[in-house]
Amino acid sequence: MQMRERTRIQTSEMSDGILAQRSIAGDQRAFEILVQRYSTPLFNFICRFLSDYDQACDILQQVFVQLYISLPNLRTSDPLKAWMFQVARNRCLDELRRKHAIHFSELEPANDDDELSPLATMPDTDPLPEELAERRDLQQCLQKAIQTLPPKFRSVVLLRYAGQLSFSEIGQALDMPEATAKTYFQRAKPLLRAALTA
Amino acid sequence: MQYPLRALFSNDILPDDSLPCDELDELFSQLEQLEPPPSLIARILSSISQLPQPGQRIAWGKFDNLVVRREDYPPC
Repeated sequence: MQMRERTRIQTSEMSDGILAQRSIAGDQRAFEILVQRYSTPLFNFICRFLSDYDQACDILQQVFVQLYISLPNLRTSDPLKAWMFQVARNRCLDELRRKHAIHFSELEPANDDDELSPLATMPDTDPLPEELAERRDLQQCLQKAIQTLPPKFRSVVLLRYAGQLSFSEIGQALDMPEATAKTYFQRAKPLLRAALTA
Repeated sequence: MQYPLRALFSNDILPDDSLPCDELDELFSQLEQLEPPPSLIARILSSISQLPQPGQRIAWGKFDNLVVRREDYPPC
């Protein structure tokens, strides 16, 4: 019993590389750990990128299926984490293009205060004491501020704040130098401040 | 060709590349983590379990160039 528990802990502490190798060798548990490790940050990123909870579920599934299928071909020095976020972002962009079939620059949200994003209008089943209401308002403000950013800044900010990626990983996910990722992030900050104080 | 494990998926051994935190970072650190529904994780794992093992595809792929293709023969 103790032995099995120790093995379980050891497996969950393995690096992505080892887990990927074990998945290729047919270890389903190893892939399960990868799914558990990255499902929340990926879902958080996708959900905030699309502002669509249901669609985020579909895309998360697609990302992991693509990972599983691509595992034997991932012979690169890129970290697995950055690769998954890159796939997630590409899937999100495909989805936005498919949905709107418009030029990317037109994906900016309309500044219509009456029209909240689906994420902002998600029903809150909890009771709403003052603290909860304040917290929900804050979440809506933060989400709205991110949505006002130009797409190239928005990706960097979401990868940083929602995906918890380092700048090095953001650079790899977006195929840009780390310094550029940092610059975009710094340039996004005054825009976020302005959106929050507007 | 064999690749050293470290070269493959060289994850999480990255230098600390963070910028100094400011009040905006503090504020956005309060951004809630949206959790995927547990049923979704189960669905993902179930769909993965129905796929062929990735390793199996590699094993057969290695021998692909040894296959003699005779397009003029009927399939057996």
